[in-house]
Amino acid sequence: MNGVTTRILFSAHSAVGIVLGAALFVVCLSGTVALFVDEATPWSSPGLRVDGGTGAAGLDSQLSALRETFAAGPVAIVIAELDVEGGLTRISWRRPGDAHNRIVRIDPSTGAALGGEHAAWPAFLTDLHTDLLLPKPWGRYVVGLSGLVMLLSAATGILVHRKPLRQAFTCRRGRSHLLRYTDWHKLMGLWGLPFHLMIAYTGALLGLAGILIVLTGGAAFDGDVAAANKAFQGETPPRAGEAAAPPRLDPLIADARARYPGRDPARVIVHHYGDAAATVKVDLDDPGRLSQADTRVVYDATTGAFRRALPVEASVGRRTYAAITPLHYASYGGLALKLVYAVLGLGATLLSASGTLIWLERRSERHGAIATARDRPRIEALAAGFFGGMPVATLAGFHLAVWSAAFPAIGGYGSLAVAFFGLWLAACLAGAVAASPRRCLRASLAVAALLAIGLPLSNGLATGDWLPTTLAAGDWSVAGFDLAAIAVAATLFTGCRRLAPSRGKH
Amino acid sequence: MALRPALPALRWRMTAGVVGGTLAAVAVTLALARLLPGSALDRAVLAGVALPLIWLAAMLRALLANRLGRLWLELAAVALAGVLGALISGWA
Repeated sequence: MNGVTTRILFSAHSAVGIVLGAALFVVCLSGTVALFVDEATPWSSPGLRVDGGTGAAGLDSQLSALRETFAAGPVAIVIAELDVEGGLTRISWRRPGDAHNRIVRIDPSTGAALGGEHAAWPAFLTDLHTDLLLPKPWGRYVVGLSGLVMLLSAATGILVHRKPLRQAFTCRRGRSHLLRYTDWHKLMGLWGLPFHLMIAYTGALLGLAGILIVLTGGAAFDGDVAAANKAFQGETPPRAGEAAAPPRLDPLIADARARYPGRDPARVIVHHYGDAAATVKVDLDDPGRLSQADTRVVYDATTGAFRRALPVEASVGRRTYAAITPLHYASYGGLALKLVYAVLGLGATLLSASGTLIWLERRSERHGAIATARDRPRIEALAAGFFGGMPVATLAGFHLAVWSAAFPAIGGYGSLAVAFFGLWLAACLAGAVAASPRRCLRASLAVAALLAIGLPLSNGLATGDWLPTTLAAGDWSVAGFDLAAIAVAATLFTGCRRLAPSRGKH
Repeated sequence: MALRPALPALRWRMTAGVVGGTLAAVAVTLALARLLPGSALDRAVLAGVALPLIWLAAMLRALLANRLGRLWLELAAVALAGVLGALISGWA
């Protein structure tokens, strides 16, 4: 490859990074945090901490808490997810014509519904990652396009570097900030390359799924997009309009377990609950498989008769479709895999930030020595506040969420959103007036580290669940989060020290 | 007198890649959705997962091209091939 081609690819790599670097940073950092939404929910929503233990009530007993609610009108769908968020049963349901599902969480050990608004902070972080909090479906499409851009950025980055083996082991210390940022950027880019390609590709597919299903489904199904949607989402028979007794789900779950020994039921779906045409689908987990497509057993809800079980060895198309989401969200390999994803996701986040900082440093060097902060380009200052502010705002959100047990007004989705953006904006403004953008970035990381190390303290003060107590009780849904917060604090402190001034520079 | 024409600027390459590359990728994807073997769901899924890769290939081709006119011709030819493929399979 000649020098001109390399320069063009480098310019393209820089251009896409500059234009979408900020969006990629937000998507990558929120995605890294959202990996642990299930694990973080009991910690950030103290009202959902359950004791668990033996003698969990059957699903029929748990649903009895909602029987009167369901009987008040037709119910289009009930989805019961079993053993989620630290041992809860999460019921999502809606009536015909509802725009969104309603969610109720049930403690399986008591069968009691846990009232109030819960898990607002994990929901906010998930929405930030999947939609950038923009109106659906446009936000999803923007995130999908970010995935495409990340793919292009990775591909041009690979083609630009002619000595990847040497650069994969180069980390020069005690040199200028530009050189250090460049070395970190190359190290993270090269070592995390397979992960970055996979996450960008699956992210693009998930973000653009709405468009892709219409395009390819329409073409493959002779223009019948409705038939395509049914094939992707599964067919639902129409309502009969006649009332029927609610289905007894526990015998059906036991039957599904007997048909597929060794697999646990993950989800029970009831279409047209309380109607004569109701069906029950029991989805079974198969921990050894990436694709969770076809371990599903279908029953007639009124008679309990077995209807069909989808074949375990499904077609290549169905297996591919069912593998995309688990591959992106690391839901196929347990906590250890999520931790690996988190480290690599942090690398992707730092790639976006370091790329922008490299560009700003180069601009700064081209402008020459800058005498005072007033002369320093504002964009460099804002960038420091932007990149440093998001971790601060995210960690502050966890503090507010755990204190919502004592002060419910601060735990709502809206309150947390206002606090998050308010803190982030404050960090950007602080960067704009800081004497040195690099000092502002270091200060942001230091504040974030203090917030992280303070999370176990906040948890103890707000809920009484101190770390030694939860460790002794074996309550890993809370203790695990506290320990992770300490690890995050250590990482942030290390990052802060690495940004320390080098020879004669600030 | 220049010994060779000036190379296209980055912005024109990116424009050709984004516009032409997207159209070419969509056309080829539609053709794949019609022509691949298997059930309709299989064809739809496999064509859908191919689209980002086709788009990426088109973008890289645009960045590596030395002549803008020839690049547009190449992308148009790919798009035309995709449309013809979809039409040949009986879908209009």
